[in-house]
Amino acid sequence: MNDKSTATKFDDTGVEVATQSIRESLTFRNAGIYYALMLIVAIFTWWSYSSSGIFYLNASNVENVLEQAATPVAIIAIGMTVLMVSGNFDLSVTSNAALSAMSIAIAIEHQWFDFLGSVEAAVVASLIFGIVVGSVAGLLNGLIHWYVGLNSFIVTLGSLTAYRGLTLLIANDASVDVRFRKELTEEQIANNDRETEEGVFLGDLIGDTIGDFNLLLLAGIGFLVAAGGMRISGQGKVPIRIAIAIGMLSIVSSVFVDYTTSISHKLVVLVALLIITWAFMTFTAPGLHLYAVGGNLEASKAAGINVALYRIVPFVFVGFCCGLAAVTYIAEQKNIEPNLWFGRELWVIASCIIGGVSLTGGSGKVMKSMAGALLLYTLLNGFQINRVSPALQDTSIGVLIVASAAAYVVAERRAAAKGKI
Amino acid sequence: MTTATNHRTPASSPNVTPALEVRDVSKNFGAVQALKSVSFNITPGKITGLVGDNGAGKSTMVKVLSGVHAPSSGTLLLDGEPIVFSNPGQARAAKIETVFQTLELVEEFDVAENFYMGQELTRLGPLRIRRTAEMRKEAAVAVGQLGINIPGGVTRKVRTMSGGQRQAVAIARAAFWSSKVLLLDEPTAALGVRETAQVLEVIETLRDQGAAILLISHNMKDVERLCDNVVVLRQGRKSGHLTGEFTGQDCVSYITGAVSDLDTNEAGDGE
Repeated sequence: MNDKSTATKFDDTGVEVATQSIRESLTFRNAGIYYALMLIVAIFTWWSYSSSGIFYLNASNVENVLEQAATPVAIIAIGMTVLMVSGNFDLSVTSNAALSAMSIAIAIEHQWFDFLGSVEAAVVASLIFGIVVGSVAGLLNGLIHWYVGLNSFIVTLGSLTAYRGLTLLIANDASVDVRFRKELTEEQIANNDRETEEGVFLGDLIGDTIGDFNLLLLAGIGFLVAAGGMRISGQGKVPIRIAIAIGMLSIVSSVFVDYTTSISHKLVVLVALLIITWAFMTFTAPGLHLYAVGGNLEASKAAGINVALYRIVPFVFVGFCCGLAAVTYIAEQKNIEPNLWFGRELWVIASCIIGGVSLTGGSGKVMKSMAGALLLYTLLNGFQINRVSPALQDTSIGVLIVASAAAYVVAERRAAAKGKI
Repeated sequence: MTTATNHRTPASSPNVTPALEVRDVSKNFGAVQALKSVSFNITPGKITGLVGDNGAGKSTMVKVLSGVHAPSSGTLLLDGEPIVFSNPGQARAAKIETVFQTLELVEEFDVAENFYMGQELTRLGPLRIRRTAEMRKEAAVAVGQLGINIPGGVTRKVRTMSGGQRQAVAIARAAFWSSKVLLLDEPTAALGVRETAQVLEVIETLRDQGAAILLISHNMKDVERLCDNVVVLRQGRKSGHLTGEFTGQDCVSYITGAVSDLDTNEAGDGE
């Protein structure tokens, strides 16, 4: 009898789970960022069309916004979300990314990896070197934070300046070319003369884009992959069906709507990083431990979670993302400035805050931070298309950051009041 | 596992071996002696009370039993076998679970996630994909067996629950992982009357299911209602051990030192 009652009880809760989560997930509190993004896109579409007859939401402009957002802000925002969920914070991200980029440039200039014998091998080795530099710089932040017991805000406030200084130092305060030598003759190595050098830029090696694709088709495939992930992890039926429905709809409409544009390398990197991180955070046990460590450190310790690991590794991951951002940047550039992305760390953090990541840890979603980054760059792009003055652009974006944070606080308070009654 | 809900199990026969035996345990912190040669047993199907004034050594005792502190001298016997813990993980592995005064739940997690935190059921080997549906089902069964009613079920976030519900969940989680000994440190300290009643019912249900429970409490009403025997600590020593019929007032007498089983009436230097 007891077993029977528990069984029915579970069925009841099972139903409750499904209906509650679907209704819950559509509330302003949970999906507000997506509504805001849609609203702003709608406003710009109307504005651009009525003022200049441009269709704002055309495929190449969408790709344009994605590209602008991707490097460095969106890519690093993924790492930042993971770090903030674990209860920490990194102000040094763009200094770290500049350091990584400069390390790659220096490695190329000084031919550190030419001993590998081919240009391709030297390219790959230099890029990996940059990612390693970024990860190590992140690790250093993490180790100082955890083992010295310093607040991560203070640690990274210091490394923000220190990593930038180091970048200037290794660059000798000047911009550095990222040009691989095509042939490695002894004369060229001995006679290190830029003018006569046969050079090849990374962009020349890999091309500007990976080719033309229909964005609707890609989005459709993305939704189906997400549905598969939710199925594997045993999520409720309703969200899976919705994901499949949207995915199928996108794929079918891609046949009729020619929403084709060229896809750049950094977009591929961004999407791959996003999907892997999202799946990790959403479906795996270690992903959940990140939230646990950020939400309640003592409870996590008591539950036998290796808290040191989950507090330090996110710093390394942010550093890795910084290195990745550097790599995607170098793939399209001919030289690296030592003051690259100066002050842009605030955009990374703003993306996360607009996306609703908690400053105190324990909650946040990478998809929402991504929407936050897109929101920022949609605004920027829309303002540029409609020729809004830069001063007004900055003011609007500042207002947006505070307004979105305020909206979350208010929505949270209202939900709490409702829940308690 | 089916259970009788309102009757004490006949497992309380005199020959039942204690689940956990505490023998002459002492604990020093430098010059301060927090525990002086304390002995008692925790028996399956019984609730043993541990009471005492602030600083009497209750919390130190819980920390020794849960593996946070190693005893300076003395032994712990689990099912008659001597055991030594050097960290809380080992105590947990030996099936001794503790519910501390400060709730160790993650507020952003739902009941099922809190139940399995750190010990999730996973699939696909190193990918460690969570078996969410399975964990929810198991947690719902465990919660149901203790008669805990949480509107919204095991997918309700702890953040949205009342203090009593949270404490009930914390105890249910401990019981879920522990098959031997359950240490409850002030489980009703921060709760209102109705919520306290809810938590006490959960503890009684666990007792009836045969758990060996140590209840640390300041609330003599709770102690009187629940405990089969009570160990009183005073200045780190066991000043009394009440069994059979006793009242909360008896406990208070021992706690304040008005009555003591100790031979000498030395004024200890305590803490």
